[in-house]
Amino acid sequence: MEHWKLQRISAIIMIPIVVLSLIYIINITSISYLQLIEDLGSISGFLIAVLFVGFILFHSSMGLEVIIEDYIHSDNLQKNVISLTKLLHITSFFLTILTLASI
Amino acid sequence: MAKFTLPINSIVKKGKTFSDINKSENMLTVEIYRYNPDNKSNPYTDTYLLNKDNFGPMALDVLIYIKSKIDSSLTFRRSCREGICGSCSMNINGTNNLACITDISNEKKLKFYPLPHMPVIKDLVPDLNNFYAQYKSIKPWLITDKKPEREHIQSQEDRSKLDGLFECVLCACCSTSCPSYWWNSDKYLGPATLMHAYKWIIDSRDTAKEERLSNLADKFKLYRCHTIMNCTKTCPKNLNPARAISEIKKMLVKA
Ligand code: SF4
Ligand code: SF4
Ligand code: FES
Repeated sequence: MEHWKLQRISAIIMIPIVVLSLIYIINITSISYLQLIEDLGSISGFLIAVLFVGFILFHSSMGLEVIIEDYIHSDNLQKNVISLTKLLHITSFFLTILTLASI
Repeated sequence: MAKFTLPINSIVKKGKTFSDINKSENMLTVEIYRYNPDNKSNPYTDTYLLNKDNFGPMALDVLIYIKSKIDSSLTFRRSCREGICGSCSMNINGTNNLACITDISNEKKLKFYPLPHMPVIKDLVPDLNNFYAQYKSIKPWLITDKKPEREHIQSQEDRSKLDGLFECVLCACCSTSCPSYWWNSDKYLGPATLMHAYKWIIDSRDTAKEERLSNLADKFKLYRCHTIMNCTKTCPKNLNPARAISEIKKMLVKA
């Protein structure tokens, strides 16, 4: 239940963030390299990028969990694969923060 | 893991061809899945070339004709022949349906298979024990602490809320068309059972709404439904189990 609710809520929150980010990405060719670095280096740019990646990873992790539960029937294997995907998602999130912070 | 391929002993082979037609004017080609566990051999499909003028306009008429005139060993369930008992559910030309109400007047070819992804007892007869056990698990009877002197009264308005639900004939066409049910029928209740659960939840005479809802609030029993909607597409009685399931989910969000 909680899982189902969180999946819906994260999807709804993602709508504005994804739209904003997409508009930015589509226009990326008209932005100079320096401007890009400046945008991502600013506090608001950093926060939007972290939120964007954070919610996508959170939502993707939940989605993959459901798919794994659907298709992997052995209890132990299922638990291990789910833990592994969660670990990969969390690692990607921290790598993203590190990368953005180093700009 | 979920099984994506057939086990070696379930691969369907080609069977015999029977023909009772001279000229091909009104020909119907019928392919039927055959399986007899006593033979200890793989299932196969028999082909029948028939003259359409020899039987009635429904898919069940074809099966009854073949059984009485060509091969009495052909096995299938049927009873009412008017879409009310739910016995003759099977996969006809790729869609789950009740054979007795499937109009074949425009068909030149028919393929009959048992309901998908179910253990087969013989030919077109699937094993529905698990399906019935799941139905039983939702306590499909009136639970109430009221003891009226006579019947349990229900207003016309409350009664009409059950329209589109009570008509279900438990044929299992919906559940066996649902990919989620294919992969997890041991744990996921499936659309037919969930729709019945919903019917009892909203029945004004029943007082066990909370108990029923909390019994369903489970990752596997309910939330394996991914709103694929095969169930609604296939229901021979034109009911909408997918809607009933999403209503249950909505009630649980509010609960
Ligand atoms: S909902 Fe429709 S398809 Fe499902 S069991 Fe009932 S009548 Fe059959
Ligand atoms: S809507 Fe739900 S129950 Fe219906 S076919 Fe899809 S997953 Fe199955
Ligand atoms: S024979 Fe009863 S539903 Fe088809």
